[in-house]
Amino acid sequence: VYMSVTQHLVQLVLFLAVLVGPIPFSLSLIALVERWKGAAGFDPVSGRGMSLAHSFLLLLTSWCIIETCVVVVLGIIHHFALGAILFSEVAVFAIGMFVRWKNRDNERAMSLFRRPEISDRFNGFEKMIVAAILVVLGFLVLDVTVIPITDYASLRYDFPTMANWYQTSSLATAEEFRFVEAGRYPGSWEAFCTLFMMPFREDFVVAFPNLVAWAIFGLSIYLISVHLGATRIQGLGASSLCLATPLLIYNVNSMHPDFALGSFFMAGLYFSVLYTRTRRTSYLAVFSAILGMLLGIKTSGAFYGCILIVFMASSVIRSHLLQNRSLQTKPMSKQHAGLLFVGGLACFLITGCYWYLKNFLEVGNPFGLVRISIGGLTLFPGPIDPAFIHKTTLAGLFSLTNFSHWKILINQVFVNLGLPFLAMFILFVASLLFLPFVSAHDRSEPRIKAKSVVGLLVLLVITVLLYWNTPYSADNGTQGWQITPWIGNGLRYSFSTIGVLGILAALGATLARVKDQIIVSIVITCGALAVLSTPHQKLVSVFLYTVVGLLLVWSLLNAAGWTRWIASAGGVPRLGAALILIGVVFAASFAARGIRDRYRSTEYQGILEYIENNIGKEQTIGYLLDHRPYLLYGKHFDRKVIYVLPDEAKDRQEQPDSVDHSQWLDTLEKREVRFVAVGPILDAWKSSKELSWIRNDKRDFVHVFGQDTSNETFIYRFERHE
Amino acid sequence: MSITQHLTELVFFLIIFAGPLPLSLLLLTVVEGKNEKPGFAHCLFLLLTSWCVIETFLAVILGIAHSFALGPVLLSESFVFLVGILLLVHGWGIPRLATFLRRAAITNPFNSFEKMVAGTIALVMAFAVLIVILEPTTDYDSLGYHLPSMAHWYQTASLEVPEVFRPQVTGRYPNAWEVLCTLFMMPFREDFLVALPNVVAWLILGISVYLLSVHFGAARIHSLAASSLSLTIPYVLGHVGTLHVDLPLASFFVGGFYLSVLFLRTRQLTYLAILLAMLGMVLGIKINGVVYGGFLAVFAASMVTINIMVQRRRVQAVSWLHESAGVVFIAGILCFVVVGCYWYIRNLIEVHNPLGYVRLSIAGLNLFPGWVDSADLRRGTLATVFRAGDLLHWKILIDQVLAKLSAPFLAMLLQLIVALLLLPFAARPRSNKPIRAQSGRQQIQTRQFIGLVVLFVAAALLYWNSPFTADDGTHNWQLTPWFGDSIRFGFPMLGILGVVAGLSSTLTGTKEPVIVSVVIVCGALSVMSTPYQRLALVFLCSSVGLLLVWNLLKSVGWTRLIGRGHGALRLGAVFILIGVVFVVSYGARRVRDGHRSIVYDGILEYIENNISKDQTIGYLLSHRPYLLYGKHFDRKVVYVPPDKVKDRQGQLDSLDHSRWLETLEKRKVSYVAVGPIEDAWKSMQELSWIRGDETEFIHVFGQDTSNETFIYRFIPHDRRRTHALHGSISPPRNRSRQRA
Repeated sequence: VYMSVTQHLVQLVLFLAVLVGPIPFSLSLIALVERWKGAAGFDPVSGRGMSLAHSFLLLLTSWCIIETCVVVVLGIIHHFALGAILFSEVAVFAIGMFVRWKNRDNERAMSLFRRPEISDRFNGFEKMIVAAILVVLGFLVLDVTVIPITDYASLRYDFPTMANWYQTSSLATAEEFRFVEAGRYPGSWEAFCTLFMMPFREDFVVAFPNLVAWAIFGLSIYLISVHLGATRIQGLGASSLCLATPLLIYNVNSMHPDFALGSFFMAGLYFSVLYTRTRRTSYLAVFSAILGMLLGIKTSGAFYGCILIVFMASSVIRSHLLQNRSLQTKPMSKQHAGLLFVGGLACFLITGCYWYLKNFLEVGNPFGLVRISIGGLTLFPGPIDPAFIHKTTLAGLFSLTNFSHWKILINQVFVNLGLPFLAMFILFVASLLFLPFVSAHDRSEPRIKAKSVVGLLVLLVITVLLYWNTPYSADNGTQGWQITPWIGNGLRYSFSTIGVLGILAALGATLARVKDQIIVSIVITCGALAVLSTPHQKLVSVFLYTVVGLLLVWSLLNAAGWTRWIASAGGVPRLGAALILIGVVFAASFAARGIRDRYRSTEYQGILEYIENNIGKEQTIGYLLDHRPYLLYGKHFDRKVIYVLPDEAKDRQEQPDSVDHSQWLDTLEKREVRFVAVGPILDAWKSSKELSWIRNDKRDFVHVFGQDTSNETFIYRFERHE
Repeated sequence: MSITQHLTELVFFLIIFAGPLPLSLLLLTVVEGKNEKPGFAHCLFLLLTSWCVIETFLAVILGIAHSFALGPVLLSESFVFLVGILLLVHGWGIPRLATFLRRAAITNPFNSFEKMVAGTIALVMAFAVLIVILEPTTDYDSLGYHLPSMAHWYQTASLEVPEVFRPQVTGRYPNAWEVLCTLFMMPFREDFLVALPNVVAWLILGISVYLLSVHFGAARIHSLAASSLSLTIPYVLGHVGTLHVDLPLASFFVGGFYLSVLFLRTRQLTYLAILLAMLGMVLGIKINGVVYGGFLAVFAASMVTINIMVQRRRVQAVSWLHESAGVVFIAGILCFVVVGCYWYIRNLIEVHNPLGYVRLSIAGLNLFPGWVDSADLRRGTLATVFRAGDLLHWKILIDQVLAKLSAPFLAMLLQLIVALLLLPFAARPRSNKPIRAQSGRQQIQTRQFIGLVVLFVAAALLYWNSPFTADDGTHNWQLTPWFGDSIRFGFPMLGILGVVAGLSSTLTGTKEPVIVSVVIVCGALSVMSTPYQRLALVFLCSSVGLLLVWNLLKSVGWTRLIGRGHGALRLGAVFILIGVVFVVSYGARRVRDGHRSIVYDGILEYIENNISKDQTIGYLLSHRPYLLYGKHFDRKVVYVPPDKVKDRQGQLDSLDHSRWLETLEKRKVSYVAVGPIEDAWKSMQELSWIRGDETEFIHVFGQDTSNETFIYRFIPHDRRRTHALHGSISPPRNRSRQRA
């Protein structure tokens, strides 16, 4: 059934409500954070106005944090549904407006977004880099809206969890994952993404938060580089190289939270740098909220958070010991600072600690199922041995003296990280080579301190070590505990490393005085390759032609003086332009949904349509041996789905199969299962007993959907014949 | 391949490559000697075109004299080299040449944006050189008839048409470009650098587009961008690696256009001479060149006439009596005759029709006889086949244009459309008034711009009406995606489009960052869209790496060291450079060997190891006969189709069959090669004869019928008995070779 235009319009409005909800609050937060001796947006380090990028970063981060807080709170009180969300978004909006009205800092916040001074405007080369980033962003928007997610882990773990949350209006762990490690991971990012399932009642813009994370990643790298003394163009270049890494581009349209982890790590690094420089409590508050995000996104976020804390603490202590002169530490009224700090702490607790608390309450171990023991003393019990986890890491499997291991690693780095990584690596080496000359350069243009380069190097080493020790960075057992090209999958755990490498590359490029035109050419080439590297070639070519066309149409309009006309004209043409824009957004999103539907039916082999047309909402679908259970929930997540793998009975060996079998059939009947779904069958499942039960029992299980066992889900109609 | 051998061969190559350079330089100084600001691009253009013309001239002359072999080639190249040097020393003196060259090199330096565009062109050119060096051609036509003809010439030291092609239309095509390429087969005795002239042609195309755009008043950045865009059209770049002659045709057509414009402006006789030589190339490269050459000649003549009629005052007397100009003019005419007309004269003598087998009749009067009717040629044109009302046709057209020409073409076309849309706003009714050009030194005349657009449309119409643009009969004279292959016939049109696009971007004042971004994206896209994906990735990565490392070294001050160093240091650098060239070319040959054995399924190695030089290979039903000549073109290859019996239905096949076997025996064929078998050939009788008879034809090479050539050892009837007696099928000498 094709959705009607009015329905889409309503849903679009709902989406915009969800989108816009926290923005006034964020804006007033920015005003609050930047309240500095009355002059908003004044940067004490550079002595200039705060950059637009800084304000944007603050806006986006606070937006993410507020949304996540709202979602988690609603989840806790079991009201994670569209109505409650709209209500709370409106409430947040109202509070934000109220705070802004109360403080009358409208002007101040908006002044941060004003057009920069002419001296600060981008030159041609910088504009080219920004344009390249925007083009890649445009492609990502297209990718996220049009291409359905087909990633293995997303369809197996993240999406079913999210669909379950959607159905239960809570953050309960899905049945299948209750006793699996994956079910005990923190889920802030997934919860946040679930928010964007709600307005459209499908996964149309579910990966939208990833786009925001992408922007946060780039902005943080740029801002840190510039803060540490890189020239603006090199900062821009390095951040766009990071953003154009093929693996990053791939991960934007997936539900892997690793990318968000990398983004918030970089944002945390930025705010810790800012705090050490300025000692403003407000930055500390933002920093603590970001720590909460890190904790809530992934378990390994705890380690990354610790690094940031140690890093910040050490530099604060160091500057205290060495300089012993206090910076201006009383910039704002205590009341505001305290308020902000409490707010940050609250975010930290809600987004970060909730998941660990839930685990602790449910299984007695905040880290889920992994046993935590220190020196023989078991702190938290759990069925999974840490030694097992160690076995999945590169530290556990990679042998530094094995040439073939190195070959596989380098090959995978080349394939997954590609040209941008190569360029950044060379620039990183340059930063090492030029490090001895930093003092010579001291008084000249780049004001890079050797201290910051060394600090970043230490950070790089730590993040590499952390990546090296991240669970499943080497193998998850499917490759027989060997180093295989599978490790390419695990490279996504290294986004923090890539970010730090990007900053070092920016510093290196500044030190080595890499020419503007060279960096610009490389960035544009990398951008083009990033777009080309995605698997949907047709989309890519259509996109490229569109871009070339738009560019030239724009230049035509520009030459005709069209933009000047709009700018100089009165309210009516502007209103007209705004209306046209709204119309374009509406039409484009409508078309994108249609295209996504078509892609979905090819990518998922039409299973969604089958379920939509043949299985009623009241009929229960049971599944087992399926790594894409998400699809069974239907396009609008309104089908009843339960996990029906036979209990791992302890005495299975002792009982004859038939008894076990009939028991299982009884269970199916008892749970009112009408359809049973299995597959795509992994190699490990091929010999499983359950599969043969279903396949051999042609009376009880009538095959109704699916052709190709290893690539498709098979659906059987279940009817018990005694 | 030993190192000394490679060294010798490299020296041979350098002799052939450098042979015409002094003469070209001499020409340059003669033509541009009095020019205060000769312009680097213009000089390079003259240098490259004259290099091509002189090389082709030499090759054709040697071919006519039946001495087209390494020895005579080296001798004549050395001779030309020495003559050039002597004339340089005598007439101009080396110091004056040096001054001239310095003058040519110093023009306004590029700004950063222009450097980026030029850098893109340079990098794509490096990639083109890599393709030529590393990737053996797999193109159908090249392996089917270009390269076999060349191998045949190589073996016979003449320009004789191989037996197979003698009755075919393709055998009567002019072959100037193939002859030029054959020169580069000689030094290495393999096809290592055979496509090198294609890179020169590619460069000539780019420079011509640039020079024309600048000439008509486009800003330098826009001209550079236009040239870069037309060079990075994926299909244009892809043709560097094949032996198709459409790219050089386009280069010399656009180059000829530039020279005719130049001649119109300056009325220098020397330009007319070079224009004539280029017309010779256009004629000699392809039979279509007759039309394109005529187009140019008519254009030049009509413009001259119009100029004389309209602006009588501005006409300057042509400096007829300048001594060197006269010599150059005579040389130009000579080149025109030898390079361009030779082929048609030969056809006239051999088949009494300069165009081969195409019947030429005017108003019912048969001028030249031939079995190809002009109606036959019209059957496959887009003008005939394409129906504007058919949506499917449009879909095929757009799909193929997007696939083959891609983003650069779109960018140029859109730029043109934008300019045309803006033209009415910018131009006042008095069309002679120049439009405000944003940054061009000269101003663009609306009249000239419109004239160029008309020219572009004319070239497009010419393409639209070229034979076989829609189908060559293999698809039943229907429009199918096959038509994409024939877009190469439209390269001249694309060159003109480049010029028009360059002017358009100046007219619309397209901003530099925009144009540079588009250029770089198109460059990356074209490199990535060649069939050599791996090479492209490695190339992009290494060029980014080299760029960065170069910049790092530069900021350390390393280049200044070399720049300021004494003679010894510089000499050292030169030696290192020579060493690098040697090592790189040696390595490249090895890599190419590896690639060759992959893409040709190891047939060359098989022939090298198992078939001796005195054994004859007969072939039929093969579209890759080139491979049978062996890596060093030293195997005897004959075409052995069964005689076509006129009344096949009436006669028994066996008769036919036995007569064919007799022929094979008579021609002393030891091996018979067939395939890759095309679908149309699958039911051929000859194939079943070979496949059915396992005693006469013993299968010795080939696995996959439709992708590989099969080789059969042919055992003649009488020898078979002796073999049966001795129990051996291969001569003992050969076996010992095999063991060795």
